[in-house]
Amino acid sequence: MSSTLCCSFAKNVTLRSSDGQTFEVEEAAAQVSQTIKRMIEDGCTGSVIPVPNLTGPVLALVIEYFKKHSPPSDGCPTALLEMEIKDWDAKFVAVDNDTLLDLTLAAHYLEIQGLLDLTCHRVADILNDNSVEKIREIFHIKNDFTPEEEAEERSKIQWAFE
Amino acid sequence: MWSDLPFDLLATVFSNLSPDSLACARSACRHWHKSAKAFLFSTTSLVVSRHDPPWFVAMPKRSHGRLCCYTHNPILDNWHALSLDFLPHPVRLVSPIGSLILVRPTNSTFLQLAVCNPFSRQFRQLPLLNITRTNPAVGVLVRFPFFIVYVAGGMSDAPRGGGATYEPTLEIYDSRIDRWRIVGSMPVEFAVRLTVWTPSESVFSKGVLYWITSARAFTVMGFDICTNTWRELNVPMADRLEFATVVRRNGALTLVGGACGEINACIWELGEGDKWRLVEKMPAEFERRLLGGKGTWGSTKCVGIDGGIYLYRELGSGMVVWREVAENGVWAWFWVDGCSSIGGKQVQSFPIKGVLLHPTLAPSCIF
Repeated sequence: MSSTLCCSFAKNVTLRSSDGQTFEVEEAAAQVSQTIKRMIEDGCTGSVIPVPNLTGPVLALVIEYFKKHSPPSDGCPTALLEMEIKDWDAKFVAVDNDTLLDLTLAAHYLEIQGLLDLTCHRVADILNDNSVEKIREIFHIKNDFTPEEEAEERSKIQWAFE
Repeated sequence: MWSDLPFDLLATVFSNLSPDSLACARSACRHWHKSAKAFLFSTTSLVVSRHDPPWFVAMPKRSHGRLCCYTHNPILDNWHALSLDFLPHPVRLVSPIGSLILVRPTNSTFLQLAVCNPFSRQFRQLPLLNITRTNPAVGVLVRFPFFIVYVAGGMSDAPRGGGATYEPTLEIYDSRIDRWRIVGSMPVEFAVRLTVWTPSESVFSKGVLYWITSARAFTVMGFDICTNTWRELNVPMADRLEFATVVRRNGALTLVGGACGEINACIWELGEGDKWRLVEKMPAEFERRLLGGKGTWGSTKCVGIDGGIYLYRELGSGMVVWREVAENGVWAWFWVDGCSSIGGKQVQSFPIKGVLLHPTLAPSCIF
C-alpha cells in the first residue's frame, strides 16, 4: 500500500550549476540526460547532483528541454503532441550563436541525444546558408591558415565558392 | 569556442552538410579542416543514402577546351562547374558507382576504364583488360563494400592481320582483387548487337544486368549474373520511339521512351512474365519546355536512380525530373533550369551526358 502511494508522487532531484544555482526537477525528466541517468542509477548523487560544466542560465534552458521531453506518464505520445514538440524544438534552438554553442556543448556533456541532434542540425543549417567568411564571422572563428594554404584549399574546391 | 568544438560534435554537424557546404565549412580554420578530414575518412563512397535527392553530374559529349564537369545541386537548385584538371586525360562518363564515376579515358581507341570522384578530386586507372576490345558493353554492379564491372562483346584485334572480329566473351573486374578475368563465352549474336548498337549505361535489376540498344528498333538485352545466361526483351513501340533508355526505379527495370505526335514521353515498368506495364506519361507542359519547339525527341537523354528519373538534352536546355517527394513518397514532375551561367559568367550550351549520384568529398580507399 505504502509503496503504491510513494510511486504516485513524482520524485524530484536537485541539480546544481557551476555557479552554485540549484534547480529542482522531476527525476524522470532529468533522466532525459544519459549522464544524469547513470549518476542516479549508480547512486552517487547524494541530495544534490552537481553539473559543473553548465552555468545557471544554460542549466535553466536545459531543464526546460527536460520538462518538454520527459516521458509522458500515460504511455504513448500522440501524433499531435509530437508535432507540437517539433515546433517547440525549432523555437528552442532559434537562439543567438553563443547560446547555441552553450546548448550544443551541454547536450554533448549531458548526453542528450535529441538536443544534440537538434543543435547540430541548427548549426548545419547556418553553415549551409553562409560563405566561409560569414561562417568565421558568425562563429568567431579565427582564420589560422597561411595565405598559401588557404589559396591551395580554395583552388581545390573553387566550385563550392561560386 | 566554436573553433575548438570536440571532433564528435563537429562530425555530427558535418554529417548534416551537403558537399558544397562542407567544402566551405572545412576551410574556416585548421581544427575544422582536420576534423572534416577525419570525418570524411570515416564515411564511405559506396553507400548511397536515399534521404537526399541525387546530384546530376554532366560532361560534354565532346571535349570543349577546359576539362570540367557540371553538377546540379538539387537542394539549393544551383549549378557548379568542377574542374577536372586532376585527370591525366579527357574522359567520357560511363556509369556511376555509388558516389564514384566510372569513366573511359578518350586517349585510347580500345576500352580502358578508370574511376574518379570529381568532388574529392581522385582518379585511378583500372588495370588493362585481358582482351583488347573496342566498343564493348559495360555494366556495373555495386555490392557494398566492393563493386564489379562487366564488359561484354566489342571488336577484338584480329590475329595475324585479318579483319577485326566480334569478341564473344565476358570479362569481369572485381574491386576486391583489382583484376580482370574472363568468365566465359557469350552468344555471338549478343556480342554483335552489344557492339554495333553501342549500348548506354547498364541497369541492374533482380539479378539481371540490362542494356538497351541505341537506335530503332530498340531491344533490351539482359544478362543473368547467376545463371550466366543471356536473353532479349522486346520494347513497346520499339520501331516508333525516337529515344529509349532503361533505368532502375524502386528496384524494377523501367523503360523511358518518347515519340512525337502520337504519344508523349512514357514510362513503362517490367513486370511478371516480362510484360511491360505503362506507369506514367510526361505531362504535356513539361514536354513543350523540354523539346522547346523542336518537335522531336531525337536528342533526348535520360538517366535514373532509384528515387528519380531525369530527362535532358543540352547543358543549357533544362531538365524534366520525375522523382519521389521525400515528405510523402509520391512521385511528381519537376522542371530544373539548365546551366546558363555560373558565378555570373555565361556558360556555353552543348550536348551532354549525365549521371546521377550522391556526391561525397570523402576520399575512397580504392584510389
